[in-house]
Amino acid sequence: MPLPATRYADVLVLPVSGHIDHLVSDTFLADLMPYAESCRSGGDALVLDMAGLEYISSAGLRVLMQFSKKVRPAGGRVVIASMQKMVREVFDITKFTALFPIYENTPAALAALSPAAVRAHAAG
Amino acid sequence: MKLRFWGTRGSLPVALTAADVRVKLARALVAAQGRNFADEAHAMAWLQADLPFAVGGTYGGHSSCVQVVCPGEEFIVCDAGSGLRPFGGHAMAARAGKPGVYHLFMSHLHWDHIMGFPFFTPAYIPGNIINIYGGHADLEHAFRRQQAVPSFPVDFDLLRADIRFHTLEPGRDYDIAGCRVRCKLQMHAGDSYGWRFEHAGRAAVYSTDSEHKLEHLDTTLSFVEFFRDAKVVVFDAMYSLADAISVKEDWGHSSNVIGVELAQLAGVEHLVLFHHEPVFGDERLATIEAETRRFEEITRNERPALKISAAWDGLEIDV
Repeated sequence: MPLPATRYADVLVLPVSGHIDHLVSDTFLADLMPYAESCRSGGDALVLDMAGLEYISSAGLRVLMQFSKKVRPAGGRVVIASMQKMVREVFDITKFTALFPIYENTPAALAALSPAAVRAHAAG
Repeated sequence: MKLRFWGTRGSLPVALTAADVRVKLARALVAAQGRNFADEAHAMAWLQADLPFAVGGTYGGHSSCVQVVCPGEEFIVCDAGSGLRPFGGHAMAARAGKPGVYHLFMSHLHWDHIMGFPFFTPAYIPGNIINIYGGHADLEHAFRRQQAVPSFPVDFDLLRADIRFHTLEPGRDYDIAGCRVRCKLQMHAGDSYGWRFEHAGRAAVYSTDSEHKLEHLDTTLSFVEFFRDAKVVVFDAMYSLADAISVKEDWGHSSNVIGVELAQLAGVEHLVLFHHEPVFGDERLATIEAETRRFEEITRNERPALKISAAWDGLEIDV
């Protein structure tokens, strides 16, 4: 089942939450992939809001890598926002911080991606 | 049982340069300011106790070679990287001129894992018996080829030891030199094999040059079982996770983070990071070791602590 997305103009914000490890990484991939088609140049940008993510293992990080590899050749943009401290540390240690733009929170991510999305977010 | 590391570097042996040594000396001198040492022994004691390992030591530069020390007179060694040369000197001194029996377990036949054999002095001495085990059918061909013209001046046929090759079957237990030994197929160009050694109810695993693609849960769990309850796992941690699954995907190596996760799932006591990237200096390797310990700490939950070490040439670990 695709992750529930909130649209702000040309940006989709997807909440990523819980505990993503080798046991649920396939489900995470299946939930994320429906958004790959529209994530391209001229299409939607994606913000993965990780405020509710408590843990992500290497298998979960591999899903993010797979998704990124799929959308980037078409100009798709994927960024990450609202990481908890522990997840941020995992990104630092695994060097994933070099692979994805990371923002303090979703409004900061929207500001970096699209003025139209900022306006839509402000309008509620 | 004990593991003794003779070579820990991946892909290519490396050596400290004069500039590297001077940096270490300068840092040690600064750290020692105000101290007086009665003699060299006191200086050495301070150096080992108080200086960071990356300053007072080095992770070393020989390519893969790890001795499995079991009770008994026969020698067990994993891989014949350049670390096999100093191991050979050590073994001959231990035998004090008497012939020895050597059991050499090969992860695979890439150059960095066989390059020490032409410099393994016991191979030149009649009376020694050298058993070479692997999962590959072309074991003997690889060893002969690297000593053939024009690669080396001494042909394999001129070696005077009794050298025997044995292709073993993955997943099957063998009793060799007092140990129960089993190998497992791993993902690497041309295949590689991990080795599990059990003795007196304790197990050590040597698993290098092994990529974990995390694509299939069954494959992941098969490694968890291979590592299950081992006291020590020596693990290929050559790349960061980001590199291992992006730009260096399919290069046949793994990362520190995957090592921690598999070791945690398997109930391993001590994870040893191995097959260090040759471009990494001592400071970088010390950082990786510290980061790996931190990763283990923040992902431990209710599990017992997993000990983490970065291997270095000369390291000994009790199993």
